[in-house]
Amino acid sequence: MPPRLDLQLSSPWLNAPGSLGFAPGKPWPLDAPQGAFVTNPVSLKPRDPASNRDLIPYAGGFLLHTGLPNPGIKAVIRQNRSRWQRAAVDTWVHILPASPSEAAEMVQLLEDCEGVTAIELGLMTGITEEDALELISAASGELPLVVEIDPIWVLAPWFFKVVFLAVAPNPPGAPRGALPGPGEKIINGRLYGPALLPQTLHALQTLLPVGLPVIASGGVYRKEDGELLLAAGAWAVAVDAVLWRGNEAVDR
Amino acid sequence: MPELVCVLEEIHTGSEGMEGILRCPPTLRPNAGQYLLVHVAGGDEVLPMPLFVSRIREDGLELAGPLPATWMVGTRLAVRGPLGHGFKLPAAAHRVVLASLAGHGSRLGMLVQAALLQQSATEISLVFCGDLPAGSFPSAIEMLPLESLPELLTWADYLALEVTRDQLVIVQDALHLQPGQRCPMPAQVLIEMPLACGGMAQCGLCAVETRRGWKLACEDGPVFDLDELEL
Repeated sequence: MPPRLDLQLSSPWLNAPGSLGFAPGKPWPLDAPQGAFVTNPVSLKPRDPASNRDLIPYAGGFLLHTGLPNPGIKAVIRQNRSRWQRAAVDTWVHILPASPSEAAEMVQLLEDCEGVTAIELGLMTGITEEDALELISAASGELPLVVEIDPIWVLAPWFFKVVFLAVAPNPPGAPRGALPGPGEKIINGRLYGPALLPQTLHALQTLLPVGLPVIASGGVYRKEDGELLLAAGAWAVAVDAVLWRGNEAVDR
Repeated sequence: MPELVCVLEEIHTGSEGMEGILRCPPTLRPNAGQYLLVHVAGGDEVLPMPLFVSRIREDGLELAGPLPATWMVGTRLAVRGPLGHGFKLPAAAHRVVLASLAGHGSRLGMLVQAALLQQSATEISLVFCGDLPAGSFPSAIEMLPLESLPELLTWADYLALEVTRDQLVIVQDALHLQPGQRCPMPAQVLIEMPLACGGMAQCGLCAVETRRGWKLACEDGPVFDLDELEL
Protein backbone atom coordinates (compact mmCIF):
# COMPACT_ATOMS: atom_id res chain seq x y z
CA MET A 1 0.00 0.00 0.00
CA PRO A 2 1.48 3.38 -0.89
CA PRO A 3 2.15 5.69 2.00
CA ARG A 4 -0.32 8.48 2.56
CA LEU A 5 0.16 12.16 2.99
CA ASP A 6 -3.12 13.32 4.41
CA LEU A 7 -1.70 14.60 7.64
CA GLN A 8 -3.63 17.53 8.97
CA LEU A 9 -2.37 19.90 11.61
CA SER A 10 -4.53 22.49 13.29
CA SER A 11 -1.35 24.18 14.46
CA PRO A 12 2.25 23.86 13.24
CA TRP A 13 3.61 23.50 16.77
CA LEU A 14 4.41 19.98 17.99
CA ASN A 15 6.41 18.41 20.75
CA ALA A 16 9.45 16.37 19.71
CA PRO A 17 9.49 12.66 20.59
CA GLY A 18 11.00 12.12 24.00
CA SER A 19 9.89 15.46 25.38
CA LEU A 20 6.44 14.82 26.85
CA GLY A 21 6.11 11.13 27.58
CA PHE A 22 3.64 8.65 26.13
CA ALA A 23 0.29 10.37 26.64
CA PRO A 24 -0.99 13.88 25.95
CA GLY A 25 -2.20 16.17 28.67
CA LYS A 26 1.11 17.59 29.91
CA PRO A 27 1.35 21.37 30.23
CA TRP A 28 1.78 23.10 26.88
CA PRO A 29 3.49 26.44 27.45
CA LEU A 30 3.07 28.09 24.04
CA ASP A 31 0.28 30.54 23.35
CA ALA A 32 -0.14 28.74 20.00
CA PRO A 33 -2.02 25.44 20.34
CA GLN A 34 -0.32 22.06 20.10
CA GLY A 35 -0.90 20.65 16.61
CA ALA A 36 -0.30 17.03 17.61
CA PHE A 37 1.13 15.08 20.50
CA VAL A 38 4.15 12.93 19.58
CA THR A 39 4.92 10.05 21.94
CA ASN A 40 8.27 9.00 23.25
CA PRO A 41 9.99 6.43 21.01
CA VAL A 42 8.38 3.01 21.42
CA SER A 43 9.92 -0.33 20.52
CA LEU A 44 8.17 -3.64 19.95
CA LYS A 45 9.72 -5.25 23.01
CA PRO A 46 10.40 -3.49 26.32
CA ARG A 47 13.69 -1.60 26.48
CA ASP A 48 15.54 -1.08 29.75
CA PRO A 49 17.32 2.19 30.50
CA ALA A 50 20.96 2.29 29.43
CA SER A 51 23.31 1.37 32.26
CA ASN A 52 25.44 4.43 31.48
CA ARG A 53 22.50 6.81 31.13
CA ASP A 54 23.57 10.35 31.76
CA LEU A 55 22.99 14.02 31.14
CA ILE A 56 26.10 16.00 30.23
CA PRO A 57 25.80 19.78 29.86
CA TYR A 58 27.91 21.72 27.40
CA ALA A 59 27.91 25.33 26.26
CA GLY A 60 24.61 25.93 24.55
CA GLY A 61 23.00 22.61 25.30
CA PHE A 62 23.27 19.17 26.79
CA LEU A 63 23.75 15.57 25.76
CA LEU A 64 21.17 13.08 26.97
CA HIS A 65 21.72 9.35 26.90
CA THR A 66 18.91 7.18 28.23
CA GLY A 67 18.74 4.14 25.98
CA LEU A 68 15.20 5.22 25.02
CA PRO A 69 13.60 2.97 27.64
CA ASN A 70 9.96 2.06 27.16
CA PRO A 71 7.70 -0.79 28.22
CA GLY A 72 7.14 -2.02 24.65
CA ILE A 73 4.34 -1.26 22.22
CA LYS A 74 1.71 -3.53 23.77
CA ALA A 75 2.17 -2.07 27.25
CA VAL A 76 2.29 1.48 25.88
CA ILE A 77 -1.00 0.90 24.05
CA ARG A 78 -2.59 -0.73 27.09
CA GLN A 79 -1.53 2.10 29.40
CA ASN A 80 -2.34 5.01 27.08
CA ARG A 81 -4.95 4.17 24.47
CA SER A 82 -7.86 5.59 26.45
CA ARG A 83 -5.94 8.84 26.94
CA TRP A 84 -5.10 8.99 23.24
CA GLN A 85 -8.77 8.45 22.50
CA ARG A 86 -9.99 11.14 24.90
CA ALA A 87 -7.33 13.72 24.10
CA ALA A 88 -8.28 16.97 22.44
CA VAL A 89 -5.15 16.70 20.32
CA ASP A 90 -4.18 13.99 17.81
CA THR A 91 -1.50 11.51 18.82
CA TRP A 92 1.39 10.45 16.63
CA VAL A 93 3.17 7.38 17.93
CA HIS A 94 6.91 7.34 17.37
CA ILE A 95 8.06 3.78 16.66
CA LEU A 96 11.54 2.30 16.88
CA PRO A 97 11.34 -1.04 15.06
CA ALA A 98 14.39 -3.26 14.86
CA SER A 99 13.25 -4.91 11.63
CA PRO A 100 10.65 -4.50 8.88
CA SER A 101 8.51 -7.24 10.41
CA GLU A 102 8.56 -5.41 13.74
CA ALA A 103 7.55 -2.20 11.97
CA ALA A 104 4.62 -3.90 10.28
CA GLU A 105 3.48 -5.51 13.54
CA MET A 106 3.67 -2.24 15.46
CA VAL A 107 1.81 -0.28 12.81
CA GLN A 108 -0.92 -2.89 12.68
CA LEU A 109 -1.39 -2.67 16.45
CA LEU A 110 -1.59 1.12 16.30
CA GLU A 111 -4.10 1.19 13.47
CA ASP A 112 -6.70 -0.04 15.94
CA CYS A 113 -6.08 2.82 18.37
CA GLU A 114 -8.55 5.66 18.21
CA GLY A 115 -6.85 9.03 18.52
CA VAL A 116 -3.65 7.87 16.84
CA THR A 117 -3.58 9.72 13.55
CA ALA A 118 -0.02 9.14 12.35
CA ILE A 119 3.06 6.99 12.77
CA GLU A 120 6.46 8.55 13.21
CA LEU A 121 9.31 6.25 12.24
CA GLY A 122 12.72 6.91 13.70
CA LEU A 123 15.53 5.59 11.53
CA MET A 124 18.69 5.07 13.51
CA THR A 125 21.82 6.78 12.28
CA GLY A 126 23.97 4.36 10.30
CA ILE A 127 21.12 2.31 8.88
CA THR A 128 21.73 1.07 5.35
CA GLU A 129 19.75 2.24 2.35
CA GLU A 130 18.19 -1.17 1.85
CA ASP A 131 17.16 -1.47 5.50
CA ALA A 132 15.75 2.07 5.54
CA LEU A 133 13.60 1.45 2.50
CA GLU A 134 12.35 -1.85 3.86
CA LEU A 135 11.47 -0.25 7.18
CA ILE A 136 9.65 2.61 5.51
CA SER A 137 7.76 0.20 3.29
CA ALA A 138 6.81 -2.01 6.22
CA ALA A 139 5.65 0.98 8.29
CA SER A 140 3.47 2.29 5.49
CA GLY A 141 0.02 1.12 6.43
CA GLU A 142 -3.31 2.83 6.84
CA LEU A 143 -1.92 5.66 8.94
CA PRO A 144 0.09 8.55 7.51
CA LEU A 145 3.81 8.14 8.05
CA VAL A 146 6.38 10.67 9.17
CA VAL A 147 9.99 9.55 8.82
CA GLU A 148 12.81 10.96 10.86
CA ILE A 149 15.98 10.89 8.84
CA ASP A 150 19.53 12.08 8.93
CA PRO A 151 19.52 15.16 6.66
CA ILE A 152 22.62 13.86 4.87
CA TRP A 153 20.43 11.16 3.29
CA VAL A 154 18.69 13.71 1.15
CA LEU A 155 21.77 13.64 -1.02
CA ALA A 156 21.46 9.90 -1.61
CA PRO A 157 19.71 8.76 -4.78
CA TRP A 158 17.58 6.27 -2.89
CA PHE A 159 15.88 9.03 -0.95
CA PHE A 160 14.02 10.11 -4.06
CA LYS A 161 12.42 6.70 -4.28
CA VAL A 162 10.55 7.62 -1.11
CA VAL A 163 7.53 9.66 -1.91
CA PHE A 164 4.53 11.04 -0.11
CA LEU A 165 6.15 11.15 3.29
CA ALA A 166 6.57 13.97 5.70
CA VAL A 167 10.11 14.07 7.01
CA ALA A 168 11.74 15.33 10.14
CA PRO A 169 15.49 15.70 10.50
CA ASN A 170 17.35 14.40 13.53
CA PRO A 171 16.44 10.80 14.37
CA PRO A 172 15.03 9.94 16.85
CA GLY A 173 13.97 13.38 17.92
CA ALA A 174 17.40 14.94 18.26
CA PRO A 175 20.80 14.82 16.56
CA ARG A 176 23.51 12.57 17.94
CA GLY A 177 26.67 13.65 19.65
CA ALA A 178 29.34 12.42 22.03
CA LEU A 179 30.96 13.87 25.12
CA PRO A 180 33.16 12.54 27.89
CA GLY A 181 31.16 11.31 30.86
CA PRO A 182 32.25 10.09 34.27
CA GLY A 183 35.79 8.76 34.20
CA GLU A 184 36.30 10.45 30.83
CA LYS A 185 34.50 7.57 29.11
CA ILE A 186 32.86 8.82 25.93
CA ILE A 187 29.06 8.85 26.10
CA ASN A 188 27.01 8.92 22.91
CA GLY A 189 23.57 10.45 23.06
CA ARG A 190 21.05 12.93 21.76
CA LEU A 191 21.82 16.64 21.73
CA TYR A 192 19.46 19.36 22.88
CA GLY A 193 19.73 23.08 23.36
CA PRO A 194 19.61 26.40 21.57
CA ALA A 195 23.06 25.86 20.01
CA LEU A 196 21.40 23.45 17.56
CA LEU A 197 19.18 26.03 15.90
CA PRO A 198 21.60 26.89 13.04
CA GLN A 199 22.00 23.18 12.31
CA THR A 200 18.23 22.74 12.20
CA LEU A 201 17.79 25.67 9.84
CA HIS A 202 20.51 24.23 7.61
CA ALA A 203 18.84 20.80 7.62
CA LEU A 204 15.54 22.44 6.72
CA GLN A 205 17.12 24.21 3.77
CA THR A 206 18.68 20.94 2.65
CA LEU A 207 15.39 19.07 2.81
CA LEU A 208 13.04 21.66 1.33
CA PRO A 209 14.03 21.08 -2.32
CA VAL A 210 12.80 17.50 -2.03
CA GLY A 211 9.29 18.93 -1.88
CA LEU A 212 8.11 17.01 1.16
CA PRO A 213 6.62 18.64 4.23
CA VAL A 214 9.41 19.11 6.77
CA ILE A 215 9.02 19.13 10.53
CA ALA A 216 11.91 21.14 11.88
CA SER A 217 13.16 20.19 15.32
CA GLY A 218 16.22 20.92 17.40
CA GLY A 219 17.29 24.09 19.13
CA VAL A 220 13.90 25.78 19.32
CA TYR A 221 14.09 27.55 22.67
CA ARG A 222 12.14 30.73 21.91
CA LYS A 223 8.96 31.30 19.99
CA GLU A 224 10.82 33.40 17.44
CA ASP A 225 13.13 30.44 16.77
CA GLY A 226 10.12 28.41 15.68
CA GLU A 227 8.67 31.29 13.73
CA LEU A 228 11.99 31.62 11.91
CA LEU A 229 11.81 27.97 10.86
CA LEU A 230 8.20 28.29 9.76
CA ALA A 231 9.01 31.38 7.76
CA ALA A 232 11.89 29.49 6.15
CA GLY A 233 9.48 26.86 4.89
CA ALA A 234 9.02 24.31 7.66
CA TRP A 235 5.62 22.65 7.61
CA ALA A 236 5.74 22.32 11.39
CA VAL A 237 8.13 22.89 14.27
CA ALA A 238 8.80 20.47 17.11
CA VAL A 239 9.98 21.77 20.46
CA ASP A 240 11.76 19.56 22.95
CA ALA A 241 13.57 20.06 26.25
CA VAL A 242 12.55 23.68 26.60
CA LEU A 243 9.11 22.35 27.47
CA TRP A 244 10.57 21.12 30.75
CA ARG A 245 10.96 24.70 31.89
CA GLY A 246 7.21 24.93 32.30
CA ASN A 247 4.84 27.72 31.48
CA GLU A 248 7.52 30.30 30.99
CA ALA A 249 9.17 28.14 28.31
CA VAL A 250 9.40 29.10 24.65
CA ASP A 251 6.73 31.74 24.79
CA ARG A 252 9.05 34.57 25.69
CA MET B 1 1.01 22.18 40.51
CA PRO B 2 2.04 25.75 41.34
CA GLU B 3 4.33 27.56 38.95
CA LEU B 4 5.58 30.72 40.50
CA VAL B 5 8.15 33.42 40.07
CA CYS B 6 9.96 34.00 43.36
CA VAL B 7 12.89 36.17 44.39
CA LEU B 8 16.18 34.88 45.75
CA GLU B 9 16.46 36.94 48.89
CA GLU B 10 19.76 35.83 50.33
CA ILE B 11 22.83 33.87 49.27
CA HIS B 12 25.43 32.49 51.60
CA THR B 13 28.12 29.84 51.67
CA GLY B 14 26.87 26.66 53.24
CA SER B 15 28.11 23.15 53.80
CA GLU B 16 27.48 22.24 50.16
CA GLY B 17 28.44 25.40 48.30
CA MET B 18 26.24 28.39 47.71
CA GLU B 19 22.90 28.16 49.45
CA GLY B 20 20.09 30.66 49.52
CA ILE B 21 16.75 31.81 50.81
CA LEU B 22 13.84 32.01 48.43
CA ARG B 23 11.04 34.38 49.31
CA CYS B 24 7.82 32.71 48.24
CA PRO B 25 4.16 32.51 49.19
CA PRO B 26 3.00 29.94 51.76
CA THR B 27 1.40 27.91 48.97
CA LEU B 28 4.86 26.66 48.01
CA ARG B 29 5.76 24.26 50.79
CA PRO B 30 7.40 21.00 49.68
CA ASN B 31 7.57 18.01 51.95
CA ALA B 32 10.97 16.73 53.02
CA GLY B 33 12.61 15.05 50.03
CA GLN B 34 10.40 16.65 47.40
CA TYR B 35 12.12 18.95 44.93
CA LEU B 36 11.54 22.09 42.91
CA LEU B 37 12.53 22.69 39.29
CA VAL B 38 13.95 26.17 39.08
CA HIS B 39 15.41 28.44 36.41
CA VAL B 40 16.03 32.14 36.11
CA ALA B 41 12.81 33.81 34.98
CA GLY B 42 13.33 35.05 31.45
CA GLY B 43 16.84 33.64 31.49
CA ASP B 44 18.69 31.53 28.97
CA GLU B 45 19.45 28.47 31.08
CA VAL B 46 19.06 25.39 28.92
CA LEU B 47 17.55 23.25 31.66
CA PRO B 48 15.73 23.93 34.88
CA MET B 49 17.64 22.87 37.98
CA PRO B 50 16.29 20.53 40.64
CA LEU B 51 16.58 22.11 44.07
CA PHE B 52 15.87 20.71 47.49
CA VAL B 53 14.73 22.67 50.50
CA SER B 54 16.75 22.39 53.68
CA ARG B 55 14.38 24.34 55.89
CA ILE B 56 11.01 26.01 55.68
CA ARG B 57 10.76 29.54 57.05
CA GLU B 58 7.72 31.67 57.67
CA ASP B 59 8.45 33.84 54.67
CA GLY B 60 10.09 31.37 52.34
CA LEU B 61 12.39 28.43 51.81
CA GLU B 62 16.03 27.77 52.58
CA LEU B 63 17.46 26.14 49.48
CA ALA B 64 20.04 23.39 49.75
CA GLY B 65 23.16 23.97 47.69
CA PRO B 66 24.96 24.15 45.51
CA LEU B 67 23.18 26.98 43.71
CA PRO B 68 24.59 28.19 40.38
CA ALA B 69 27.31 30.79 40.77
CA THR B 70 25.46 33.10 38.39
CA TRP B 71 22.48 33.51 40.69
CA MET B 72 22.54 36.64 42.82
CA VAL B 73 20.46 38.24 45.52
CA GLY B 74 17.37 39.59 43.79
CA THR B 75 17.44 37.03 40.98
CA ARG B 76 13.87 36.18 39.95
CA LEU B 77 13.42 32.44 39.74
CA ALA B 78 10.67 30.54 37.95
CA VAL B 79 9.72 27.67 40.23
CA ARG B 80 7.79 24.51 39.35
CA GLY B 81 6.79 22.16 42.12
CA PRO B 82 6.78 20.66 44.64
CA LEU B 83 7.58 17.57 42.60
CA GLY B 84 8.02 13.89 43.33
CA HIS B 85 7.56 11.88 46.48
CA GLY B 86 9.38 12.77 49.66
CA PHE B 87 10.08 11.17 53.02
CA LYS B 88 7.30 9.85 55.19
CA LEU B 89 8.45 10.03 58.76
CA PRO B 90 6.42 7.43 60.66
CA ALA B 91 4.22 9.04 63.29
CA ALA B 92 5.48 6.56 65.85
CA ALA B 93 9.16 7.13 65.16
CA HIS B 94 11.12 7.93 68.30
CA ARG B 95 14.65 7.09 67.28
CA VAL B 96 15.44 8.59 63.91
CA VAL B 97 18.72 8.21 62.10
CA LEU B 98 19.55 10.43 59.14
CA ALA B 99 22.61 9.50 57.14
CA SER B 100 24.24 10.99 54.10
CA LEU B 101 26.65 9.14 51.88
CA ALA B 102 26.31 11.89 49.27
CA GLY B 103 27.18 15.10 51.02
CA HIS B 104 26.57 16.99 54.20
CA GLY B 105 22.93 16.16 54.54
CA SER B 106 21.43 19.50 53.61
CA ARG B 107 18.75 17.71 51.55
CA LEU B 108 17.75 15.99 54.78
CA GLY B 109 17.37 19.30 56.57
CA MET B 110 13.63 19.46 56.15
CA LEU B 111 13.32 16.00 57.61
CA VAL B 112 15.19 17.24 60.67
CA GLN B 113 12.71 20.08 60.89
CA ALA B 114 9.80 17.67 60.52
CA ALA B 115 11.24 15.30 63.10
CA LEU B 116 11.73 18.07 65.61
CA LEU B 117 8.16 19.16 65.08
CA GLN B 118 6.94 15.64 65.52
CA GLN B 119 6.72 15.39 69.25
CA SER B 120 7.15 11.65 69.28
CA ALA B 121 10.62 11.96 67.79
CA THR B 122 12.32 12.97 70.97
CA GLU B 123 15.64 11.36 70.15
CA ILE B 124 17.43 12.03 66.91
CA SER B 125 20.87 10.97 65.86
CA LEU B 126 22.47 12.25 62.71
CA VAL B 127 25.32 10.49 60.96
CA PHE B 128 27.42 12.09 58.28
CA CYS B 129 29.90 10.91 55.74
CA GLY B 130 33.04 13.04 55.58
CA ASP B 131 33.17 16.54 56.97
CA LEU B 132 30.60 17.48 59.54
CA PRO B 133 28.39 20.40 58.57
CA ALA B 134 29.25 23.65 60.26
CA GLY B 135 26.21 24.53 62.30
CA SER B 136 23.71 23.38 59.69
CA PHE B 137 21.59 21.45 62.14
CA PRO B 138 20.11 22.27 65.53
CA SER B 139 22.19 21.37 68.54
CA ALA B 140 19.57 18.81 69.60
CA ILE B 141 20.94 16.53 66.91
CA GLU B 142 23.83 14.25 67.69
CA MET B 143 26.57 14.11 65.11
CA LEU B 144 28.34 10.83 64.57
CA PRO B 145 30.68 9.53 61.90
CA LEU B 146 29.31 7.36 59.14
CA GLU B 147 31.09 4.35 60.59
CA SER B 148 28.56 4.39 63.43
CA LEU B 149 25.70 3.69 61.09
CA PRO B 150 25.55 -0.14 61.33
CA GLU B 151 25.61 0.08 65.11
CA LEU B 152 22.82 2.65 65.14
CA LEU B 153 20.59 0.32 63.16
CA THR B 154 20.08 -1.79 66.27
CA TRP B 155 18.74 1.29 68.03
CA ALA B 156 16.85 3.29 65.42
CA ASP B 157 13.21 2.86 64.47
CA TYR B 158 13.48 4.94 61.28
CA LEU B 159 16.34 5.52 58.86
CA ALA B 160 16.57 8.21 56.16
CA LEU B 161 19.49 7.98 53.76
CA GLU B 162 20.81 10.40 51.17
CA VAL B 163 22.91 8.78 48.42
CA THR B 164 23.92 9.38 44.84
CA ARG B 165 22.80 6.90 42.20
CA ASP B 166 26.34 5.56 41.94
CA GLN B 167 26.37 4.93 45.67
CA LEU B 168 23.35 2.63 45.58
CA VAL B 169 25.70 -0.32 45.11
CA ILE B 170 27.41 0.39 48.44
CA VAL B 171 24.31 0.96 50.54
CA GLN B 172 24.13 -2.66 51.66
CA ASP B 173 27.76 -2.56 52.72
CA ALA B 174 27.30 0.75 54.51
CA LEU B 175 24.44 -0.76 56.51
CA HIS B 176 26.24 -4.11 56.98
CA LEU B 177 23.31 -5.90 55.37
CA GLN B 178 23.77 -9.26 53.69
CA PRO B 179 22.52 -9.66 50.12
CA GLY B 180 18.75 -10.09 50.30
CA GLN B 181 18.62 -9.09 53.96
CA ARG B 182 16.07 -6.42 54.73
CA CYS B 183 16.74 -3.38 56.85
CA PRO B 184 15.49 -4.06 60.38
CA MET B 185 13.44 -0.84 60.51
CA PRO B 186 11.53 1.36 58.06
CA ALA B 187 14.14 3.00 55.88
CA GLN B 188 13.90 5.46 53.02
CA VAL B 189 16.50 6.66 50.54
CA LEU B 190 16.76 9.99 48.75
CA ILE B 191 18.65 9.29 45.52
CA GLU B 192 20.53 12.26 44.18
CA MET B 193 20.68 12.27 40.37
CA PRO B 194 19.81 14.49 37.42
CA LEU B 195 16.08 15.29 37.45
CA ALA B 196 15.83 17.19 34.21
CA CYS B 197 12.19 17.03 33.18
CA GLY B 198 10.29 16.97 36.44
CA GLY B 199 8.24 13.99 35.25
CA MET B 200 7.13 15.58 31.98
CA ALA B 201 9.18 13.43 29.61
CA GLN B 202 9.38 10.02 31.29
CA CYS B 203 12.70 9.85 29.47
CA GLY B 204 14.32 7.27 31.73
CA LEU B 205 17.35 9.35 32.67
CA CYS B 206 16.46 9.04 36.35
CA ALA B 207 15.31 5.41 36.16
CA VAL B 208 15.77 3.39 39.33
CA GLU B 209 15.49 -0.39 39.44
CA THR B 210 13.03 -1.59 42.05
CA ARG B 211 11.58 -4.95 43.00
CA ARG B 212 8.50 -3.96 40.96
CA GLY B 213 10.39 -2.90 37.86
CA TRP B 214 11.86 0.39 36.74
CA LYS B 215 10.63 3.53 38.46
CA LEU B 216 11.41 7.15 37.66
CA ALA B 217 12.94 9.23 40.43
CA CYS B 218 11.44 12.39 38.92
CA GLU B 219 7.89 11.27 39.65
CA ASP B 220 8.02 8.09 41.76
CA GLY B 221 10.92 9.38 43.88
CA PRO B 222 13.42 10.81 44.47
CA VAL B 223 12.72 9.18 47.84
CA PHE B 224 12.17 5.41 47.76
CA ASP B 225 11.62 2.82 50.45
CA LEU B 226 14.94 1.04 50.88
CA ASP B 227 13.28 -2.37 50.72
CA GLU B 228 11.70 -1.42 47.40
CA LEU B 229 15.07 -0.93 45.72
CA GLU B 230 16.86 -3.59 43.73
CA LEU B 231 20.33 -3.12 45.21
